[in-house]
Amino acid sequence: MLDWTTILKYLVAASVVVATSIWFVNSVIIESKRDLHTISLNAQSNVESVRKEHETAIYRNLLVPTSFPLTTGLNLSIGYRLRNGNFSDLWSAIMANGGSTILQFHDEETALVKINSIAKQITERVSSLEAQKVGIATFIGSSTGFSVGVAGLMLSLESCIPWFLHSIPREDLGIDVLFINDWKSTKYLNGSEKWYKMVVVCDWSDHRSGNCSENIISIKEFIGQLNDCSNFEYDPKDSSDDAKVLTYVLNPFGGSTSFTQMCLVSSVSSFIKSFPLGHSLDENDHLTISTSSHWNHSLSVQSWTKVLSTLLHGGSVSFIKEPRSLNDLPRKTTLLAISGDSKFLDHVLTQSKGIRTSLSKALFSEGVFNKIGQISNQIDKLRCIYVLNDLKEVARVTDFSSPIPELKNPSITRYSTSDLTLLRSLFGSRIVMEVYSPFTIMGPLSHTNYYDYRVLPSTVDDLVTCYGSFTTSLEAKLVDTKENPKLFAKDRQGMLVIRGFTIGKPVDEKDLSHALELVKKFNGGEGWMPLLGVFGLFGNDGCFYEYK
Amino acid sequence: MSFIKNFLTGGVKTSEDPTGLTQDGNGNNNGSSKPSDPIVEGKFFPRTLYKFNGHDDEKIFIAVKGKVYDCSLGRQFYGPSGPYSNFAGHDASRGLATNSFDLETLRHWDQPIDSLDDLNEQQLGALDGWVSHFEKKYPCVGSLSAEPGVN
Repeated sequence: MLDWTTILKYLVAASVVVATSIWFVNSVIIESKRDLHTISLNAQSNVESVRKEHETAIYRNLLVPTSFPLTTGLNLSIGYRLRNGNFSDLWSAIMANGGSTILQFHDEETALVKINSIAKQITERVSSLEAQKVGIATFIGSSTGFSVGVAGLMLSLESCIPWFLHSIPREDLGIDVLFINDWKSTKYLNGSEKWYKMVVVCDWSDHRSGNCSENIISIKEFIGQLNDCSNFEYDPKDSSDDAKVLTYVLNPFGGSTSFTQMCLVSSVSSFIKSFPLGHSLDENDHLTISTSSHWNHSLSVQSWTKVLSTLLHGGSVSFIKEPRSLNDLPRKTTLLAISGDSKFLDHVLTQSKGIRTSLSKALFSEGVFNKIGQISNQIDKLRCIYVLNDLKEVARVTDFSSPIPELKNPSITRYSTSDLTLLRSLFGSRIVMEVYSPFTIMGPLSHTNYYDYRVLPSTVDDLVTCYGSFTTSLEAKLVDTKENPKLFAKDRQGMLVIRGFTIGKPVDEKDLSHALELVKKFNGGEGWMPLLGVFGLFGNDGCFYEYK
Repeated sequence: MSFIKNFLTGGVKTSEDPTGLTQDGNGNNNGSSKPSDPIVEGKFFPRTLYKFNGHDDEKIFIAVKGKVYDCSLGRQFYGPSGPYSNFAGHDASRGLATNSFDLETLRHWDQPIDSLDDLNEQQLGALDGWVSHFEKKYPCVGSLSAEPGVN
């Protein structure tokens, strides 16, 4: 029999061992395994030391300090000078290494060489028609739609503007050649085919009906026999090509936005820079893009940044429909871009592996990356998920002419930081929240840090969404508005105003004058563009938080 | 203890509120100003400029030709024990124009602002060079004007 003193000794010894172990786990193991120190998480932006009255200071990405220029392009050389580059620079570099790259479009695999061949033959044919504008009303996530998109961007340097359309136009936009999805779509032309020199149906089969107009032809007829071509050469004559128009994009609210080559290369460059050291894009990366139908048209602008960046590094790309289970994701996926309204993510959130998930979540919330809670080895290679979110007021931001609204009670749903932590543990992957103004800015406005796994108090999550710091091509500030007297710039709250190199401008003269009038109200001449109705705040961690 | 507890209960560690939207937040949204908060661009008098000398206040402001620049990033030059520390919190126009770091080139806060009328063309040219240097390198935080009844 043990006496009381011995039992007490054992109890004290056990308590000391437990306490030491807890201290060791908390203070030594977790501290040393953290991806990013709390100090870094609390300072995610460069903040100017001066601000104007009724405005916050200017916030920038940590990679572009205040006195340094924002990211403006690819920094390519032409002789001893630097130039920003353009789509052709990107595509020629992609084709130089992309001989064996395969792209997947739903269930169909297409070699990059074939896409290049189709695109080049379309380009030649369009040029022979002396077309000034081509309309692209095809879905960019299909093999032919993607090829037509690439052809359009190739044409952008040859004085022909590609115009991405969400549907067959109801008015004459001065387009010479129109690309449409399939033969079924021809019925929506409704006599408008006479506006075009040619209407090209992106369907390789010839299901032409007898009463089809003669200028409606299949893509097969349009480009003739396909000859494989694995190279794309571009010889820049000067450094001014970046100022040329890359594309017009018709938005669902009636207007169109024009983006320059500079927008594309700046966006690509910012995306490449967003990867931390040791996690850069490389030839093993496979980007899978899966968005809800709501994003189908936005993809014609927003997919290029990630797709071209991945291909540029020798990686490959898949476009898939919204997956119903993890088995629908290509096994080689390392980067997944998925829309924030995806049912798939909601479905995954219901999966849980009990104690493994619990341990994984606890570690993530401490800042330690782990794959303990991963629910399937199907996604073993997955390293980052990009959750694509729209701004709350896309229509108003795109329109420019609406009045500034009052901030109402939370009216949109976004994933909370707690949900994101659960998703991280279930996928065993990092998650980056991105926010887009899909028809006015190429690429995201801002995104959370690759290593930011913080869980915010639920009261904060209920009111705002954290979107991290701005991309390296943009800088931002918040301004006071008389419509929202409770949001004070001195408290780092207000309406978002941005400046940078990925912003498009309205095509229509009337829309442009509305935009210019609006810009004048906010220090016109300094290039600031207000995002009407986008209210948010800057946290003392330098992150942008949008009011829900 | 928190990690073990979270692991056992399925909870997560909640970080501090960076927005200040909650009562326990430290987002500084109560209107009080921290020393690191951005300064509002505005009008300075020699008296109000003086305290931004890197010593009385961490920030270093220097006036050149009527404009005030935040030179805090150039602390190694303009901060305490730097070679140009005399300029901090002052109108440095005459010193820069004449390439002199002497105290005589500076006016005290209660003296009239230097009109620079007696500078020759070469000195004015040198001063303009310094102005463009400051404009490129440091943010302009306001302008310097005479305080009624003082300067």
